[in-house]
Amino acid sequence: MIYDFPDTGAPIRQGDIFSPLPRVEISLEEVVIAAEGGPPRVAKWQDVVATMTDSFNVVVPVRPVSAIVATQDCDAVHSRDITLCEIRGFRDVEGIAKLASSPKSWKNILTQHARINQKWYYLPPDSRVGFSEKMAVDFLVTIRVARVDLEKLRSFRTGRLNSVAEAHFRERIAEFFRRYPYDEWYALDPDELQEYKKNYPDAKPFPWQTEGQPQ
Amino acid sequence: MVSAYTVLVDTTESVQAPTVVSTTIGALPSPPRPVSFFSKAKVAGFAALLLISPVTTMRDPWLLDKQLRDAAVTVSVYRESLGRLVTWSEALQITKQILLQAERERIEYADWDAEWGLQMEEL
Repeated sequence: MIYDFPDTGAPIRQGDIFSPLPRVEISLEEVVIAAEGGPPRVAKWQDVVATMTDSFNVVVPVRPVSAIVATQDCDAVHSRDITLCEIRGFRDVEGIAKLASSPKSWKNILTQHARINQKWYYLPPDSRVGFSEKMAVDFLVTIRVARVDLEKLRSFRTGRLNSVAEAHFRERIAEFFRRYPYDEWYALDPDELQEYKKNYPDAKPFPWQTEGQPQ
Repeated sequence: MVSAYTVLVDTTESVQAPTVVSTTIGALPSPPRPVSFFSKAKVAGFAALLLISPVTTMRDPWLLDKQLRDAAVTVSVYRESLGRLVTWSEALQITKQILLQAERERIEYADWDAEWGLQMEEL
């Protein structure tokens, strides 16, 4: 499919897929502090930092996951850290895919919907990469690892996006991080806004959308 | 309150224990002398120095050290009252729940986002 398989010694590049890597979870509501020589404590983050002025140790859960390098190539060679995005099953990342079954519905999601929802990047199945089903890069879930550590684990690199896929991938990353929220109904006329509010009742009209309307 | 007196006492060991051997060791004792005006003035001057010493602006290392010790005790008390103690078994159970909750919430968000966006029939 869309994957290349570089030699183990090849430098790390954007679009390299590693598996497994540790995805760490931390809760600011329940920070588990590993106290030296005693039992652990559980506290809220704001209470912890109000008390502990120095560094301290916490216990965090880790899940081994697949991930793709998001850091661009130059930084991936020189920087101290490398950022990756988690890869999960496509249906877990894009809720609408739960309803997809036919090739037509999949075609619509993977082409048209990909242009609308910019939070993920589609990865087709390929047993050589270790993907037995449709997968997706979740741009919202990032993982940070030390570059030198990852370089020592290049045997964990299961594949790499080919040049066409990588060109799309870097565009999707760029689009994701330059997104900003806006009220998409701002230009609708009153009738269109009325229709829009049937689906999105929380939408509040702008002043120019209520001019001449009874308040 | 800061005093020069305490500064004198609390200076480093080298001040209180000079390393240079006195050159008067072995000298003959001198005969007693009458207390002169200059000796009285010297004593009075030293007493005056002691009296005015509290108004000096030098920081007292003892007092500072005491404040630091008090702060350390306070932090220690806070640490002991921070959050709640749990067993290691409970701690591991909590971290497991944190992991599962995070994963569950991501799926819930994906479902919510799917409802918010365009629907299958609209594509």
